[in-house]
Amino acid sequence: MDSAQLVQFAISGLTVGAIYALVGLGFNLIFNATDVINFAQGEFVMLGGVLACIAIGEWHWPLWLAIIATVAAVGALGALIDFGAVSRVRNGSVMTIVMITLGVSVVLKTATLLWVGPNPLYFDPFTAGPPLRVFGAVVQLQALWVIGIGGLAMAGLGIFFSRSALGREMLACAIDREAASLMGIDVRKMVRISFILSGALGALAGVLITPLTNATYDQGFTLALKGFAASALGGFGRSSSAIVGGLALGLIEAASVAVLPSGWKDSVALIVLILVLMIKPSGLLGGRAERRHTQAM
Amino acid sequence: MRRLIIPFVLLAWLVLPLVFTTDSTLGLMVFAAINLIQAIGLSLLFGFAGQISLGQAGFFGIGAYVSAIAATRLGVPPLLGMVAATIVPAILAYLVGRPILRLKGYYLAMVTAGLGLIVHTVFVEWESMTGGYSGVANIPPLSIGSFAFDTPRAIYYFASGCAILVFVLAYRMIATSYGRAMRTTRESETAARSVGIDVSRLKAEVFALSAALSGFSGALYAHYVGYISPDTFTIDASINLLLALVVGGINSLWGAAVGAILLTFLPEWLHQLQNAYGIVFGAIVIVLLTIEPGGLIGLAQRLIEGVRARRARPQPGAA
Amino acid sequence: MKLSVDKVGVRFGGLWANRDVTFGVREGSISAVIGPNGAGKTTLFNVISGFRAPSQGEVRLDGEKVSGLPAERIARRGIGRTFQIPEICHDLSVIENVLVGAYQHIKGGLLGQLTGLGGAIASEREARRRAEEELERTGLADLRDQSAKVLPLGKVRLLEIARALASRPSLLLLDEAASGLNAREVGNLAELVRQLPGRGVTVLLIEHNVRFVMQLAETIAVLDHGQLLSVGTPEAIRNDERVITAYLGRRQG
Repeated sequence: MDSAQLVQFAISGLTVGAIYALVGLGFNLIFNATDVINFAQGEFVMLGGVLACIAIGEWHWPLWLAIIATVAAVGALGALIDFGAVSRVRNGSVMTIVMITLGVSVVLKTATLLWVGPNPLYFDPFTAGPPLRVFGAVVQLQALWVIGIGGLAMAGLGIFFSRSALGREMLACAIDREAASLMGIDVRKMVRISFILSGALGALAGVLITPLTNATYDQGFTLALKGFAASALGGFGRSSSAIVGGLALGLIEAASVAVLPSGWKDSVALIVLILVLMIKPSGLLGGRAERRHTQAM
Repeated sequence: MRRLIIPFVLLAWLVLPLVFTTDSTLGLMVFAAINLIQAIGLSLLFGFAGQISLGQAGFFGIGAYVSAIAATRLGVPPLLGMVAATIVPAILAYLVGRPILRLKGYYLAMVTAGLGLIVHTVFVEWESMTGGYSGVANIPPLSIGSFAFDTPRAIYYFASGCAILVFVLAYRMIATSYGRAMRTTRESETAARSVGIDVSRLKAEVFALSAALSGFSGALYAHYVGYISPDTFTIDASINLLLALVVGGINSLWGAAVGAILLTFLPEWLHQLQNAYGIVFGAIVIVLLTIEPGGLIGLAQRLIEGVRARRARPQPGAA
Repeated sequence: MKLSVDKVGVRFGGLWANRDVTFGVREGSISAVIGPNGAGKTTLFNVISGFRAPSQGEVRLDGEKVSGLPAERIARRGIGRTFQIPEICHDLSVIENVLVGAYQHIKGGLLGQLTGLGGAIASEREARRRAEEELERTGLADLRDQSAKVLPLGKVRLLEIARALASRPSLLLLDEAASGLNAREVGNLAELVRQLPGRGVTVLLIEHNVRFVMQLAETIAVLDHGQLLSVGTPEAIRNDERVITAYLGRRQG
C-alpha cells in the first residue's frame, strides 16, 4: 500500500468513524441516564439526513438553517419519546423499555417511508468545489466537514460534561443515580436532557454524512448496530471510549474494502462486534459500566 | 373450561376451511401457522429461557434456502428437504450459541441482530448458490409420495396441523423438568447452576430449538410460496416477530398465538392503511407495553383478576 | 461427605477476600463459619460451591480436588447450597421450585420427558414424592401450589433449603439461613438442620446469629479479614480471646 492509498483509507475511515462515534455517544448518553439501550438511535441519524434533505431540497431553506432546525427537531423528538413513552413505563423492566424503543423505531421508519418514499434522498455537500489532493489521495470537502464538525461536537460535549454545572449533574447521575438523587439532582430532568442531546447528536451525524452517502428510510438499524459496535469496541459507558471505538471501527471498515467484496462492508462491523464481545466483553478499552450493562435484563 | 380448549381448537382447525373458503383467507391462515411456529420458538427462547434474539429471520431464511435449494437443484423430495431445513439451522445455532449466549440483554440482542444481518448478506452475496437478489424460483410444493399439497386447503391442514402439534409439545415442554430448568435459568442462572443445571448448554439447546422451529417454518414458507428472495429475511422481519410476540405476551405460549395472529392478520385488517400499518403496529407496541409489560395476555389476566377481586369483595362475612 | 479447604486464597485486584484459609468438615457433622461482615464468608462459600475459582489453594471433597470445576459440576458432585440473597424462580410455584432442585435426578432429557420414555415418568414421580416430603419438613406444605413470588423472606429461605435438599446433596451449605426468620421459624430451622446428618447430609453454615450456631455446630471456624482466626468447638470458640476481641466483643460492644 503506498502513501496515497494509506491517506485515502485513513480519511475515509475517520469520516465514517466520526459518524459511528456520534451514534455511539448517543447510545452512551441515554444508557448512562437510564440503563436502557435506545434501539431507535439509528432512526435519529436517518431522520437527521432525511429532514435536512427535505428542508434544503423541497423547502429551499439555507443550509445553516436546515442544519440547526433538523438538529433541534430531532432533539425535540428525543424529548417526546421520553415524555410520551419511556418516562411513563410503570412496572416494566429495562427490557420492556428496550422493546418500546424498538416500537418507536418501527413507527419512525414507517412514517418516513410514507412521507418521502423509498428512494434515497440527497443534498449537495456543504461547500462546492473539487476534491482536495492530499499526498496523492482524493479527499472530498464534505469529509473534512464531517471530521471537523463531528470533532467540534465531541469536544463541545466534553466541555459540557467537565465545565458546566448541568453536565456535571448528568455525570453524577451516570455514576450513581441514587446518590445523585439524594444530593438533590433532578434525575428525571437529566434523563430528558439525555434524550434531547442523544437525538441532536444523531441528527447531526445524519446531516453531516448524507451528502456523502444519501439518506434512506431504512438505514437506521444498520447505523445503530454500527454505533453500538463502536461503543462496545471502546467499552460502554464512557464518552471517550465511544469516540476511540468509532474511529477504530471506521478505519477497520475502510481497510476491509481492500480485501472483501463491497457487499460485505456492513458485516465487518458486526463481526468486529461479535469478536470483541467474545474476547473481552468490557470492550478493548474497558468501560466501567460493563457489569451493569451485560447483566441488565 | 381448560379441558374444552383442545377439542375446541381441533374442531376449529377442521371446520375453519369450510367457513373461510376463499384461497386468500386460507393462504393467510397458512401464514399464521408459519408465524405461530416461529413465535413459539422465540417464546420458548426469550419468554421462558430469557434469551433475546433479534436474528430469527436469519434461521427462517436458512431453512427456506436449504429446503428450496435441495428441491430445485438436487431434486431432494420436499419432505426430506424440510428435515434438513430444520436440522441445519439448529446445528448452526447450537455452535454459535455456545459462545454468544454468554452475553446478556442488549449485547445479545445486538449480536443476534448482527448475525441475522450477516446471514442476509450471505443470501445476497453467495450468488452462485442462492441466486443473489433474484432468489430461488419454481420451488415445488410439499408432497408426500405422490400426494402434493398444492391446494391452499391441503397446505392449510398440513401447516396448521404442524403448528398445533408444536404448540401442544411446547405447552408440555414448559411443564417438564427441562422446562422448569429453562424458567429458572431465565430468572437466576446462579440458582440453576447451584442445583447442577448446565446453563450454557441449556441456553444453546433452546437457541437451537428455536432455530429449528424457525428453519422448519421457513421451509414451509418456501414450498408454499414457491419463490424466495433475501427481501423476506431481513432484520425488520426479526424485529416484527419479536415485537408481535411481546405484544401478544411474553410470559405465556398463548401470547405467541396472539402475536402470530396479529403479525399475520393486522396488515390485512388495516389494508386500507397500506404502508401506514407499521405506524399502527409500532404505536400498539409503545402504548401496550407502557401500560402492561405482559402484553395482551398480561392485560387479559389483569382484567380477569380485577373482576374476580371485585366479585370476591361483596361477601366479607364469608371469611 | 468430607470437605477439606486447603490454604484457599481469593484475590480481588489487590485485595484478599480470603487468604490461607484451611479447615476441614467431618462427614456427618454440622459445622459453621462465622465472622463479622466482610470477613469473606460468602466468598469462601462461593469457592467451595464453584461459583468462584480460588486464586490459591484448593478445595477437596472426599480427597478429590474440586476447586476450579464449574458450579454445576460441583453441584452434581453432591454439594447443595442456599444464598444469602435468595435466588428462587418467581415464575414457578413453590413445589415447582423444589422440583428444580431434583433436576439432575429426573431422567430422560427433554425428549424423554416429552414422550414419557427413558424413565422420565417414574423419576418425575419419585422427585415429586420427595419434594412433598421436603415441603413437609420445611413447613411449606400448605403453600405448595402458591406462586413463589408472594412468599415472605422467611419462607423463601426455607424454600431454598427445600430445593437444595431435593438435589439430594451429601454436603449442604447454608448461607445465613436464619436471617429474616422469626423466633419460631429459627427454632424449626434448627430442628431441621439437626436432623440432616442422620439423613446423610453434612452441613456447613454461615451465620450471623451466633446463638443459633452455638447450639447447632460441632465445629466452628472464625474468619476475620479473610483469614482464619480460630477453629474449634463452640466451647473453645466462646473462650478464645482473639475471637472475643475480633468478633463477639465487637458485636456486643
